[in-house]
Amino acid sequence: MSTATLALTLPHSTGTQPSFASACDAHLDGVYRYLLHMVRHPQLAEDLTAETFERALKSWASFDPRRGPASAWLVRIARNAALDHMRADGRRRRREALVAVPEAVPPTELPTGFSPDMRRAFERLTASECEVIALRVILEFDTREAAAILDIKPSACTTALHRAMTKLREELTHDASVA
Amino acid sequence: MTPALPDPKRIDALVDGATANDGNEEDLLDLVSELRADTVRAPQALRARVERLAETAPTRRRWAWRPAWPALAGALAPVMAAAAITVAVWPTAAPSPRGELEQVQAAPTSGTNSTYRSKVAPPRDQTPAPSPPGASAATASKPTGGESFDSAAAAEPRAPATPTPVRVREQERPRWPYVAGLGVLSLVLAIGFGWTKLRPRWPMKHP
Repeated sequence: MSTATLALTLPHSTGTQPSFASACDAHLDGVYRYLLHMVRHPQLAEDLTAETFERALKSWASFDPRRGPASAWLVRIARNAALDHMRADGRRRRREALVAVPEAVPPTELPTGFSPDMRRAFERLTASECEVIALRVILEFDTREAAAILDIKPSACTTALHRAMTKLREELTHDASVA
Repeated sequence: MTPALPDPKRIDALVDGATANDGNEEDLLDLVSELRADTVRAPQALRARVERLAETAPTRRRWAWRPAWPALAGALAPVMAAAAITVAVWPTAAPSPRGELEQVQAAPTSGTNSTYRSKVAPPRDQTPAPSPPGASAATASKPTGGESFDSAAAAEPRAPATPTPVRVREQERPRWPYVAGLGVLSLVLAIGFGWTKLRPRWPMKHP
């Protein structure tokens, strides 16, 4: 495993209280990648990452490493921040749609390390499918931790991963057959 | 036609690091490897922003009295309130207008079994008044109205009834059940207050 992958892989050690600076250093890339796959907008992912760590700093005293790793705690905060933003954005769009025609936003190319085929297939997945793949495959959380972050049962997380991987592979196969 | 993926539990195991058993599982592991090849890093501007944020954070977690003061005050407030209420509202032990009552044993010939006599007021004398000198015995032993008359009993002099204190009626209720109840209530409130204010609030629930 390369050094970059090690830095990106969120350490799942428990039991010791890391400093906030070390937690930021270790988990910044992972949180950013999670939010990037979830909101699919680089600038918004940056803003939400910064908001995530601001929220984490405010409640850092309440973090108990015996209950789980800092990575899961931070990703959960990031998920809540993203969901809050999505709700607020949905309300704003509904208000604006009453008085104006919504602008067509050009698709933004995500700065991921995927191949073009993988990127196209990944963009056709739903947000929840991207999220479970990001948690289980990319960030390498185990089933129990991913289920806790998603607030679902581990069996439901297993099923969701199966569906998402099936759909992703079908999209890849479809693209290959069309080409 | 794409071959079907392994069952969900097998996918879980493969993602967690199990080795592939056939070509289908190898394809899945290739897909996983390609997904994990995403090595995008946070932009430098974001990294600098978060590092500046981290510089303001305390270096390590330690016990501090400052957040404990509200919990302590919250725990002590009901106790102090209970004590104040107890002192202010509790009935005093002042005697009632009738005075403390005492149950006395009635005389054997009395019509009633017992009667209450005031301790302050002198007890009603059950013995006949001393006869003035020269009065006849019949006059002295003349029965009063309301009592059953028996010639034999009337003939012999009545024995004086000695007031026997049986028990003193309690004017003051015991305090300890109320104090104990308020203490338990204060303890419950203190534990609840401390639990809600000081416990680690993780994992956060989904809103």
